[in-house]
Amino acid sequence: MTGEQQAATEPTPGVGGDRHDPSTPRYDDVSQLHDTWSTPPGIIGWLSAVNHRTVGLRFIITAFVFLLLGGLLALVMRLQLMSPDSAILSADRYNQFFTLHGVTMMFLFAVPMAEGFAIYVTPLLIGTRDMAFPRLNAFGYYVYLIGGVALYVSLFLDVAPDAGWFNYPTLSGKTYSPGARIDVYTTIITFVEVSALVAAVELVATIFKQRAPGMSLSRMPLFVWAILITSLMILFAMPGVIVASVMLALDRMADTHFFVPSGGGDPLLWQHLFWWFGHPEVYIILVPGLGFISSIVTVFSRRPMFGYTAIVLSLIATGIISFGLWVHHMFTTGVPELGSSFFTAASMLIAIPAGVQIFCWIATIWGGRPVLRTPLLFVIGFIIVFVIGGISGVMVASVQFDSQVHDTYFVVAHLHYVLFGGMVFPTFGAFYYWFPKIVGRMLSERLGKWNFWLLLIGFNVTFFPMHQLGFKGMPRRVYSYDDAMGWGAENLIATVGSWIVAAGMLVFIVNVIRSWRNGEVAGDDPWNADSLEWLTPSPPPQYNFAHIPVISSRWPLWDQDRAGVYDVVSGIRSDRREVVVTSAIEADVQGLSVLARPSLTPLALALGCSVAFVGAIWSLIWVPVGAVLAYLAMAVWHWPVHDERTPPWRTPERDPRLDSTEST
Amino acid sequence: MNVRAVLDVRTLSPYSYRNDGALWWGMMGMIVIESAVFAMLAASYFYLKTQSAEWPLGGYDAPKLLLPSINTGVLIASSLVMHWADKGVAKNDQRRLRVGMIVAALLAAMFLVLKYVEYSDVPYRWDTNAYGSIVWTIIGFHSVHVMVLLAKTMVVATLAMRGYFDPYRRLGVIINGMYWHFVVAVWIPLYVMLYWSPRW
Amino acid sequence: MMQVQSALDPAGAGSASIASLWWFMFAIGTVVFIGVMVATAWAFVRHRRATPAAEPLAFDKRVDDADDKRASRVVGIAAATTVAILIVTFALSLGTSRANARLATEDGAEIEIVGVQWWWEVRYLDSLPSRVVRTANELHLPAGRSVRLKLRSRDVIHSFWAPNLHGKMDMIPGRENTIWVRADRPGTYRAQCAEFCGLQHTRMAMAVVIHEAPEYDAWLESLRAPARIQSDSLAIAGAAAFVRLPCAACHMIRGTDALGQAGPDLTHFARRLTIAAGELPNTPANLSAWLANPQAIKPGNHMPNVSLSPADLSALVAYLSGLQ
Repeated sequence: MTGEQQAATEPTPGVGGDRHDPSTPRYDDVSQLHDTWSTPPGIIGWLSAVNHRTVGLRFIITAFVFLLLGGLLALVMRLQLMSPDSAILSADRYNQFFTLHGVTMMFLFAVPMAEGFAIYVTPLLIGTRDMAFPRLNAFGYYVYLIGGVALYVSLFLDVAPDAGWFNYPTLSGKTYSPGARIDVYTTIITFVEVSALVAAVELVATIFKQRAPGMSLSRMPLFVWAILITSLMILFAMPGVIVASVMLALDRMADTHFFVPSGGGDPLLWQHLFWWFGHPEVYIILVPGLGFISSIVTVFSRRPMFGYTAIVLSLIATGIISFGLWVHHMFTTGVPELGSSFFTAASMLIAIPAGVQIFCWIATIWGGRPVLRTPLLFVIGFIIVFVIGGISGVMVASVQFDSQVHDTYFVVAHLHYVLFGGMVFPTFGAFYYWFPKIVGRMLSERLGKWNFWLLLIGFNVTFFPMHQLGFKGMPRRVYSYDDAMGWGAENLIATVGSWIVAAGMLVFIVNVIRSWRNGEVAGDDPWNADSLEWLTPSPPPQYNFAHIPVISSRWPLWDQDRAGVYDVVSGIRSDRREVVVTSAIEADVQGLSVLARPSLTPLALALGCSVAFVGAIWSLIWVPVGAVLAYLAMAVWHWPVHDERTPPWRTPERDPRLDSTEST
Repeated sequence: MNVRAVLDVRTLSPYSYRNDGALWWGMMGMIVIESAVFAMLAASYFYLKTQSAEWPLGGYDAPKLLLPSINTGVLIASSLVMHWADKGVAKNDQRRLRVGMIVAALLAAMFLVLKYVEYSDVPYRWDTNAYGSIVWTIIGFHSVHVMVLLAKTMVVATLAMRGYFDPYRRLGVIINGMYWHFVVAVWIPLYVMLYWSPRW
Repeated sequence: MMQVQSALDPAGAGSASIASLWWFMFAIGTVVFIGVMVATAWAFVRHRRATPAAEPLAFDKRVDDADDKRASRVVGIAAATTVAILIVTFALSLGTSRANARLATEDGAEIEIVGVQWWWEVRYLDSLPSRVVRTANELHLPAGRSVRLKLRSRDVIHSFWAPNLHGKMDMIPGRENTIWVRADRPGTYRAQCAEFCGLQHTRMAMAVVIHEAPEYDAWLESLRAPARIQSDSLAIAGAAAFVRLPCAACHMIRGTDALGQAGPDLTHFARRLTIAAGELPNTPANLSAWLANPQAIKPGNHMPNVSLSPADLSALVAYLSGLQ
């Protein structure tokens, strides 16, 4: 910590607070902020933590563990497919593995990882001290953790879902999938979606209402834009899969006929509902990645982003168009040609905003002074891989071409190019970029380069030959193949590639472990970056910022650095968790909001929900039991506590202040 | 780091009960999610309808109109009463708040009773065919929402009985009311869909 | 025997038009990819000499306005080019759809294929119900004629896909999908299920045999005949065993007392190229292994292991191998 930062812990002249009289509220007292915002010690404190950086980091670490688990499943599957007729996995196990691989990567890795970063970084990027609903945040994490662990426990109990992450009826109906496996799918999916939904709601509320004064929407960092749009997409998309899952659960447990043709139902109804969610889901995974890229490109090109407005509009367009594509997953179900042409057009249309963003990033690099640190390397990897995935994406938007490659390894290649390229590469860039902020130490550049090249080469060796396998007629989700099919060579290459990817992952893990302890100390702003998170120490204190900044530029650190003086807000109470509330568009100051303190109620609520959801797999009796537990937890959660320091009611000076606000 | 205080917020309201605070956005988020869920259910209803040669499936008559129409009126009335109670606490009229909440809750309970009466008498069940499945699911899902309203209102009403709310501290009432109005508002298109659209 | 599958080695009109679409898109895609890579590389090397690699990450806010103006122009042109490429691709895609839609004719023959876990029921339809033939696990087509395939499912969703012939189309319970195909090049190809349909999705395939048209007509006519009466004593024992054992409960052999509907029709079993939906070449040795232990060859399939005496086994093999 430099001398300048040391000064920040002392009340600045004009930003003072009364240290001595406990009966009067205290303002801007940095030494008191620490007590107010810290989490109680001990195991109870650990379980009751609600601070956004704690919850965000838990999300990131948990999602990374699930990435490794999903990756291990993939490695075993690659081993099985390395040679014809191998018997490492039985058909039954293989089907559970590929189902769990898909569910893990989509629901337990990609979305929670992006949310973890969003929860960790967003309040720092917009200059506030926590998310709008800290307890909801903690609840979302516990729900996710319990759901994810339950899914992997099911694998060991041999009741893991085995009908694919897409889980089409009638295969997933009770006639063709008796037993608990599909019930695990329907309940766990619904459960985990709840986590994504609550995170989305509070990210929207936080982004709209808690930006630092002056950070109008047009000055908001591009990453925050990406998170805002992702969150809004989640709100509209996720209900599709929840409704579908509930219907399927009812079909299985209560003999309804939603997807049963003999009862007037239709298996295609599932596909419409599922892909209404499932296609936006792809962009829900991709858009935060685009946000990572924008942050990294700006900083490492050392210039303001070229085409900020174009990128924001592209993100918005992506969010909207993504809801008009779902039928392109159903081109082979016999949808009428006129309808499918519309979806072909929409699917090709979405290439335009993606293209515009890539062009803007290239223009930024071209017009800047790029420095090839590891985060920027991952941007290059992203461009290479994602462009290939985008091109094959335009191809599969064609109904007739899709009728050949749909459900083949061509699509396996395509989707990994898009998702690994669009999400995993940017996420690794984000690891290298924000690790110094989160941990306070730099990741090793040397290992970073190894990490990058192994992933890039390994990825392409694994997935590029799969395009060819698709043309040779290798369908997805086959556990074995005959030597005579001539698929051996490509599969062998792909398996070798998967080991290179695994080596890249190992290098990353080694890098993290080594750097966490012995990495070069980062300092506040090792990258000389533009955005607010680099204004505060690394790792940031419990309260994020000693003083809430006032923003007058899109690149606040770059523009204000010249003067060396930061404009800040004064008069925020330091004896309770107060944050500044600003208007949604212009971020004019509107008032103050007092956030909730740590509590065990989020955990209690998550446990109540778990009893209802997980119990439902075996008996519907558990649903009302869990509902009552959840209700009690919520009642305690929201019950106001009459403690002077407890927000948000009963403050002695409340009434006069209110009156003065009413008049202004 | 040198800082310069340019904006003093000491005199601002310590919490925002205006209807654009973070909590309002949070509640709107909840309402958007729930609306999307109801929209998905409605879309499924119409999807199944277009896939079927007859609707209702199985040759049943379109549902009777009288009881559900009265019941819709009951639910709308509960919303109006809730609004009246909310306005009461804004004027610090504690009695009006308490009476309003109890009457609104009774109306909602009456809605549930009438729904129960209505559906003990329909000739199809959820396991009869896809029509029965979607109708019972929508009715069940909406009724669960009304039950949640009652459960939530119990907590808020307990606080109201203790005189907890006043014109400055009524966020609990406002948020409870928002959700109440949503559950009532979402019923109206469902009512049109379930009871009138089979006749089209 | 069967040719290796390939979507890019067309033997049918549908595959042919899709393959040309692919090669066109592949060419455009390659150009686009190279273009983006060159632009990216150029963006990096532009300042290579001016920026020492070891230079600290000092922020340089000086944005060259002239540079940005040029960049705006280039980005605008690139976006416009993207739109143009997409419009051309869309048009070609629609053109391919039209071309394949034109395969429909007024008087084409109709064949119904029903997906079942994990095999295919095939019916050659006819306006006279008595001339409809039900068989399994092999599709025969005349070269040069458009044929309408009616695709249905008996249980879960399957997808019929013969890459050399045409694109795939799903078989959905409760629905009937149709594709018009025209085979052009005689030969033996392979089709398989492309939609995950449960445990043995992997082993649900069949042969697609394309004949010259006259040869096809003769073949189809001969298929209408009931099962051949065999005189070999072992085969006669096999015929008796087939009806005595559980076999006949699931399999039909027309002209005998075996009337089962659940499994594949075996009336002309010996003519088929494969056993167990494309799993094994149809040889007596493979047949014997399959009958002795179907669960070992295709675990979880719906044909149960029946404990057969060696005598019954060899009799059944002889009988079935004689069902020409």
